[in-house]
Amino acid sequence: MRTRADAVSRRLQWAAALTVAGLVVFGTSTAHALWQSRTALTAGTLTAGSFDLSTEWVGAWTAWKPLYPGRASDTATLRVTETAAGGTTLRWRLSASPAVSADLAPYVTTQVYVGACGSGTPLGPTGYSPAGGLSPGQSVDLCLRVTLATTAPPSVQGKAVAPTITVTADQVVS
Amino acid sequence: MSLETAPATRASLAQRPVRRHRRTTAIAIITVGAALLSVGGGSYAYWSTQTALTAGPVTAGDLNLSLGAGTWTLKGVLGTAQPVANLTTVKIVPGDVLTLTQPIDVTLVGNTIAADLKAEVGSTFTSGALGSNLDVVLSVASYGTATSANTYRLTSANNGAATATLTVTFKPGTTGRAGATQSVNLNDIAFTLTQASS
Repeated sequence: MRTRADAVSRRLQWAAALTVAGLVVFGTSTAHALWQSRTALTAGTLTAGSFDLSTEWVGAWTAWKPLYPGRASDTATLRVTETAAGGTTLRWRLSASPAVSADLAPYVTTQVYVGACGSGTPLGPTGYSPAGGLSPGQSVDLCLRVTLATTAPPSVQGKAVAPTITVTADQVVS
Repeated sequence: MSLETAPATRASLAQRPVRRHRRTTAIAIITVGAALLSVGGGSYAYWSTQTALTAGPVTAGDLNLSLGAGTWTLKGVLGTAQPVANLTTVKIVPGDVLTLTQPIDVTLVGNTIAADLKAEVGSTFTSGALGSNLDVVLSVASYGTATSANTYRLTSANNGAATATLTVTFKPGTTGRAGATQSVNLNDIAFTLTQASS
């Protein structure tokens, strides 16, 4: 049975708990009310650049001829252009990955040149970049030479080479 | 047999004056008590002494932070840092380091004062493909080692001018075209000087 003393004791306990809670809340908020000075920059907006490529075939396909063992055929010029032109410090390098149809792949070698086929700079696995890298908006002309091996069997006669070039531009980082 | 009812009637009538009498007595007692208390209270004001402190005025310290005219430079992964005249024309790319050389003037006056100088970044630096790929770092060479990221604990010994360096780095590890053409608001960076509480 609850006595009057019990009720008074509980009331005191509640009052004590509320007082402690109040002190904690008040004390915490007080701690955040120390002096502060805040000044934001007035520098405005900073925008990131961009990086994109476009390609187009230019020139004539005069050197693109049917292949036979030991014979090479050259594509027209593939012009690769960085189109975003949106990076203040952006410098880039170009790489290209040629491929031919699977049937002929064992007997066909490919070589991409920067510039004209044969006389240009062979494009290696590390890609192409002049000293300091290519600049935003700059273009690079590529040419693909396809050569059929002298060991190509008669079974490949009449088959299409179907060459493709995948070009990739990477930001130069060193 | 007769019944006498008159005395009973007199008795009930006589109770009213008795009650009134008691109320009057109570009021009189209270009045007298109050008068006694009043007189007694007055008796405490006979002797008195008062001595003021001779400590002189006490003056509050000060805490303030102001920024001078800062200058920006931009350094790409290739080449050297170049001054930036107009930030709005800059297009940053991964690996870029944008550096603000910021004169600051710290006012810290107070015998016990200590404060934390911080560079705080807002939400545009913590969200979005660009903001999340930017690192903002504050350094103040004259303040020694930072106590935590972008934070220096200062005392009144640091009162005065200093030069802060704030770098905004587009993370070199950013892949693909993450953040391309996006923007962040550099005004979302603030220098704060807050009195230390712990």
